[in-house]
Amino acid sequence: MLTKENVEKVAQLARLKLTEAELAAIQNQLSAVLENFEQIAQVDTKDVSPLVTPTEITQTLRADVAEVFSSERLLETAPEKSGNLFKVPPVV
Amino acid sequence: MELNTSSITSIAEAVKTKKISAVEVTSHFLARIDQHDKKINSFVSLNARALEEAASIDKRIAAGESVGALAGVPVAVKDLLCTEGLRTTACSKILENFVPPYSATVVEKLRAAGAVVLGKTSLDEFAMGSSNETSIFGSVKNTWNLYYVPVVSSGGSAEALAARLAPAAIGTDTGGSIRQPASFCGVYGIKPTYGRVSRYGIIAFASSLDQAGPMAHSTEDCAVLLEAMSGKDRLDATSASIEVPSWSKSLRKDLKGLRIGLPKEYFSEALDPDVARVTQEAIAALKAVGAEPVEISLPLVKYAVSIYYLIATSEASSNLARYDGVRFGYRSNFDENPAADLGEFYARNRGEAFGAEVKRRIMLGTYALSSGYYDAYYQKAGQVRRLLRDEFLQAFEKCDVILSPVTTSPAFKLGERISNPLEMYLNDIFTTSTNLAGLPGMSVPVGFSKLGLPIGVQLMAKHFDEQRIFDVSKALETAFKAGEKVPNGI
Repeated sequence: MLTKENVEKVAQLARLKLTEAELAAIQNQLSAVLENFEQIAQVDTKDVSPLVTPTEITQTLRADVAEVFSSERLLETAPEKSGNLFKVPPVV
Repeated sequence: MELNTSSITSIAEAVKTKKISAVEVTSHFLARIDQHDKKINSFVSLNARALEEAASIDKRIAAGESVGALAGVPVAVKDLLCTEGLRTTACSKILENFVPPYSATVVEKLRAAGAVVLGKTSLDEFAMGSSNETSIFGSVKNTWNLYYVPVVSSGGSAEALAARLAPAAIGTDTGGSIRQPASFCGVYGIKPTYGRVSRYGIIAFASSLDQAGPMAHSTEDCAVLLEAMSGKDRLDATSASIEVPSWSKSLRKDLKGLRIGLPKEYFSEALDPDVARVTQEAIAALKAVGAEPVEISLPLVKYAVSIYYLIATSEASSNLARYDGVRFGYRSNFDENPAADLGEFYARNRGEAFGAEVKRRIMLGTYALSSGYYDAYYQKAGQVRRLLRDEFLQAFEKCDVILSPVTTSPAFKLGERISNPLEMYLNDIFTTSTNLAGLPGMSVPVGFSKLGLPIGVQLMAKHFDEQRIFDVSKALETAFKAGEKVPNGI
């Protein structure tokens, strides 16, 4: 069972501001989910290395050459900009 | 030409031979969207340049230029694939006004083959959900019964097809999001082998599981679309340098000697009686054309949902870290209430703009990756994942294709499972293992429930052996023609 402190710590790590109601719901729901998922502890995985990508093909590399992408196009998506820069509000 | 029931190949052929123009084809489907989509809600944005793009195909044909296999074929694209100049939202408030400066490789490839993007279809926010109820644009309705879910995140694409609002659609599949809605909506949909299709420009959910794939009204249509989408992409290091066969031209006429693996763990008493009946009918039909059923065992599949959700949410928590409100996407109002520090700036942007299911998954993934829990959750899941994949590879020594149900039951009612995440997650039991193992998997329409809701079966094969899947799909299509039935009122 996750404690309220566990959930608050995870929310802080995940950079998510959650309401008290959200924290409480997540605490209950994730506790139930994790309790169910703990069954994987039954599987013997001694000396098994984790599979991180399913086909394990050799990754191909390409030359490390920068390709220019229009900074104007990229700035079109900015919530706020100033000249050629992304603008963020001051933090106090 | 009866466009609603025409195959992709026949549409492209008619356009190329000028029996009909690409503009006429696109206009027909835009008119259908206008007429029917208010009640179904499958599209979230239409491509304002669709007719212009169609006209340029006509112009190229008139000039005698060669056009691709999808000449003038309108395609509905899931709103998780970036489309340059056309809003791409992932159905999330955090990307509500995002207009990408580039297109996904898949979209570029479809266009290069002559396809016309009609618009963007609805999904569960960031493709996270098993019922298509978490989109900010509202839930998508099941064309077969408006009170039932189209299920799972590519629901908009599946519904657009079922309602004949497009002859072809593109979905993505992280744990079943092409196959489940295909099954619930009576259409064909394939998740190709991991690495077959480039992931570049597809908004990432879980990078080691995500694949895009086609959804359509026949085996051949799916094959033709996948041929156009596949191939190595220098912009996706995990895309495979492997030849793309002409699946559509190599379909077998019979299945003599083909071994169909039936995993005994998939046929439990818990299976819905309608699903069990339809699956048995599919097996009988394949036997009749020469296939040999073989019982196989995949005991680790019972852990698939657990390891899937641990891995998928861990990867998602990392992938979704990019949405911080600095360079694009939603930003909260800090004018009157400034943030105390940079952390609060991020946390408020994210807390206000992500929906409940997305937050829940980010939290689960962050927990599974956090110090002290990493070994027991993320790493352990990866270890079991390897054992599960090896179990599948061993099973394929005894059979050529594995057949199973797609879900434990037909479509469920809107709102029925949204409040209980665990129950919703367990619905993914039959589809998630395919993604974990990186195998190709397809949903093929076979029959209907007593209430008249469509039911498909799932076919799986070895890595890069999509041909075997298409062969079996074609045999089921010939036997049942279940994809031809059109919902009432359409």
